[in-house]
Amino acid sequence: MDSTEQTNQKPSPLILVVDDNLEFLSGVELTLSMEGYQVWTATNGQDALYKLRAAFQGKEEEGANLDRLPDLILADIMMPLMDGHNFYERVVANPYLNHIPFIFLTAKSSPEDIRYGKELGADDYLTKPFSPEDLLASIRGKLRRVEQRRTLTSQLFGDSSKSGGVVLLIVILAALIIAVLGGLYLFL
Amino acid sequence: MADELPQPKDQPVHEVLARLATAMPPEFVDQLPDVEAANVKAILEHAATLLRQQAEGANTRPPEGGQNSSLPQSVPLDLNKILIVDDVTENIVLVEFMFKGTDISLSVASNAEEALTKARTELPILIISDIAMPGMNGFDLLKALKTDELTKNIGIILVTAHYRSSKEISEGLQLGADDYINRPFVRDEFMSRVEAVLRLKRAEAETQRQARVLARRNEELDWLNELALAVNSSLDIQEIFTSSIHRLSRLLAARAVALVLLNPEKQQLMVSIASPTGGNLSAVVDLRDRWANLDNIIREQAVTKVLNIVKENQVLLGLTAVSELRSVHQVPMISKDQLIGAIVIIDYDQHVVDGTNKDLLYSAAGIIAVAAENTRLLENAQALVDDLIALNDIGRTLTSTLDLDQILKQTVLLAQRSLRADVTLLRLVDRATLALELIAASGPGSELVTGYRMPTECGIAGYVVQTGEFYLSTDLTRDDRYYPHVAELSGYEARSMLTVPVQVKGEIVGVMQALHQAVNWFNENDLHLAGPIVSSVGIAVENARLFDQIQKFNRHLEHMVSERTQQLTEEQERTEAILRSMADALVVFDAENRILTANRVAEEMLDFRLSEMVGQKVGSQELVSPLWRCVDQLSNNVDIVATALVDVPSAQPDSPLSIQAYSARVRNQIGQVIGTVITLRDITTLKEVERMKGRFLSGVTHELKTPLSVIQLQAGNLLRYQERLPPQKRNQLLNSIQTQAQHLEQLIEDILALSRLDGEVASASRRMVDLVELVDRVITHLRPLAEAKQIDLVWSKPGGKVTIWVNLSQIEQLLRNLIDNAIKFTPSGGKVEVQVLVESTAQKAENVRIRVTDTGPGIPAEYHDQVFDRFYRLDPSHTTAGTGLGLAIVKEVVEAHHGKLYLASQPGQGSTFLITLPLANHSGE
Repeated sequence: MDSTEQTNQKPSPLILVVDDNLEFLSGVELTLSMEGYQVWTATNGQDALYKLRAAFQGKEEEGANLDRLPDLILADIMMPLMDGHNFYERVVANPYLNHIPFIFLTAKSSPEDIRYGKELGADDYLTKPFSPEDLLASIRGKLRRVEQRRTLTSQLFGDSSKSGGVVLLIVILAALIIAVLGGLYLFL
Repeated sequence: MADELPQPKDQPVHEVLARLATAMPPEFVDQLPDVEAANVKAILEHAATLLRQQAEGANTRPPEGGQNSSLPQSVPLDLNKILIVDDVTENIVLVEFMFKGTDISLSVASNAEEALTKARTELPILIISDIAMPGMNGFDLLKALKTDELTKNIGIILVTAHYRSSKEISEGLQLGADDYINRPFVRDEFMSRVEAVLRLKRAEAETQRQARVLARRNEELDWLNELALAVNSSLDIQEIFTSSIHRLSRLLAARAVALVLLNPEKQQLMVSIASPTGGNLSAVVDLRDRWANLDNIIREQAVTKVLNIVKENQVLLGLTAVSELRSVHQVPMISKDQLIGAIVIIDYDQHVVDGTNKDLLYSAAGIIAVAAENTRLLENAQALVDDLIALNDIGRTLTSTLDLDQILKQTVLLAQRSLRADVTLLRLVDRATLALELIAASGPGSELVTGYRMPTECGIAGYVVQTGEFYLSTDLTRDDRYYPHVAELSGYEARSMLTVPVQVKGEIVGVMQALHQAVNWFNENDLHLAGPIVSSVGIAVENARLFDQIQKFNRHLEHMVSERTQQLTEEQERTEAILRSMADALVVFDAENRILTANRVAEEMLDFRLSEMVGQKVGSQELVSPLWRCVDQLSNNVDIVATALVDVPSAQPDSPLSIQAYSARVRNQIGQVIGTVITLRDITTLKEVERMKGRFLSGVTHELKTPLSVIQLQAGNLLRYQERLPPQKRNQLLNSIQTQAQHLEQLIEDILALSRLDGEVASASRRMVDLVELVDRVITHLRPLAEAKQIDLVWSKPGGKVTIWVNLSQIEQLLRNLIDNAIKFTPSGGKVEVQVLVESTAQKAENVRIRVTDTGPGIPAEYHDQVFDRFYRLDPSHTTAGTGLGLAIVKEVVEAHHGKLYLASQPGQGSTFLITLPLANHSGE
């Protein structure tokens, strides 16, 4: 356990913002950076996935802080090439990305749209237009929880790189327990 | 002895004598000393024979001609006369003395010749004659007497003074003497003998007389029989006349015998005259004068007329000295107590008709009268039969046709025939003008009088119309009422006329008239006959009229029916046309939920055939389909109006059809439900359109929200971080806000433009616009924009006008969008070219072409269609200002003006937009 990393560094959260409107994207980037967050941008889902993949695959990618994954993803829904919903599903399907909180930022504000988004499982749904305050309010809570979890898990398992190994360990243990229980059941 | 003699009561004398001859008792013979029994017997036999012959022969004797006698009769002897023949006067005186005191009259002759003569002329019953006379003796006289027919029946007693031998006596008896008396006479004996012979002779004479009477009677009867046979064997009056007249002529041997028969129908006297020489003639005498009394005619005129005829035809009749024909007898012929004619007998001799033949004549007259009457009756019967047949014919004819004209023509013809008229007329009352119109006529001149009209008050016809009388005119010249127009018109002069009213249901509708040129032609019988004819006519006329009316009415009805049918057909066709032209499906149910009718669209939508399902309820087979279920449900729905929405699977499984159903109950005027009308509308496209609109709307809101979200965010950023932001950054934000606001404004405008396009009627607010001038204006407006980007904006302006009939604002918008787009997407230093060309094709219609070319980046081929979609953005980053609606608007405007839009573009080669619009022709199309 490397506690020196943890105690020394408290990096600002990384937020991935995906939106096809450049003006809007720059506006959101401004707001987030003014609040001290680090910002990744992408103009569509495909682009965003590239960046993410590069991050967890440890590849060099331009404009990205390569040794970490975003702590939060903000995504528009109506985007070319890959829309927000698809992007979301791809994200949650990925074990490396599944844990990242996901907030939809979208002009699609009908109740059906909102319901759909929620059913998908997004953590939050922000309808445009919104003010910077609205945005910050949404993300702060999520980031705090992320921070808490990181603290807890790092306490538990050290750095986050170990979290994967911890998970594996738990899985193996669970498998052993099931095998034993099953054998016992067969005997009985 | 006397009582042994047969008593001759009712037996004929000859029989008595015959019996006597056969059964004479011997004692009787003894009583007759001078006569031998055989002689007596012979005498008796002879006498009997004679008498028998007399009695029988009279019956078979044929009629003999001869003056004053055609009957076989011997002349009767004088029963009270006795001729005495003796040459000795004293003997005569003696005999005379014998007869004194008796009622016998005596005639005397002194010799045989004288006796013969006297015997012939005086015809005594008995001759008492001496035998011994000079010259002819008694025997000679006897012979002579017996050979003469006239005198052979005279009784003869021979007287002799001398006793003669029985040989002499026998001789005498054989010669035919009846008795012998010897002189001297014993008075008693003499008288007894005489009386005996007298008795015998008288009896003989009586017998003869009776025989004669019988014979005569028989001959008469025979003659009458023959007459009757001859007369009744013929039914021709002429033949009857001829045979009668001949027989009469022979019977009477008169100079001229005439039969006169009155023919009242024809008002003629038929006269047949015959003379014994064989000449005969027949004549017909017209009775021109009005007869008051039939009897008078016969009594007064027949004779005169016959005489005239005889005198005129004396040569033919073989008569001479006609002027001396004075004796005229008339025997009336009576039948059924009516005098129908006469037998007129003309002769010089007054006594041609006397007591003897008068009865015969009367009998003959009776027979002829009967025969004539029979003939006439037969003729009448024939005529009646003819009439009946005619009537039947009329009846049949009249009822076999309903053609009024035919009926009338037939009627007048038949009436003419039956009534034996010359002319028959039928007049009918014209109700409209109240005139009597001569509808039909037959006979000479009928064509000339047909159609003649006269007022109903005029003439006999008028009279009959008014009174309904059956009118018989026997002489029109004496009838004041007669109005002789028929004569005037046709030249036919009538003297007799019969007028009967034609009645229909008690109403007099006209008259029928029969005319004849003879006076007194028609009689009561004809009037009676006319009655049925006329009633048949009346009925037939009425029938024909009714039939005519019915036909007219039928035609009218047919006409009305066909009119109405046509109307109904037209209405039905209209309704069907409406139904057919309805884009929606229509199904009509009756009050019992049976299908009444449906249109084609319904048949397609519900997949059924009306012809198979009409009149039936919706069956379980149909209820499989959700649409049918809906229809069925609606038809059973109690609500006055109901709607339902049904999604029906269609060919594409993912896109069902949406059908909107609408039902309405139909009520009649009383308010009863008489059915339900269900319409089905395919609103799939409507829904689709609505969905598209919805999508558009959501697209719009999305598009609107995009700039808004930037504005909100950046404004928020500005407010939140303004102190920390460098002024450069602040300006940037403000610019961004402004740009976005402008973009929003443009968007709103475009959206409005598009929605206006959507809502506008195609040809509304179009007018003649000069395209060249318009392009000029737009170019001028946009030139600064091009110049700002240093783009070469080239406008190839054609000379003259190019007039198009368009919506000005729309075309202006189109041009603006195209040119603006071109400028926007052309990089700095590029070129935008605008051209307007008029295109003439082989056809009459001409188009105008608008070309906008730019040197921009070009559009890949796969996006050529998408480019015109709403909100399509080449640049998805929205960096370039653009609503994405510009080209969509262009496309819509082009379509609205029935033009064509083309895009030629490749990446790196710029883009050319080409629009063709129809040119305006002078009519303003």
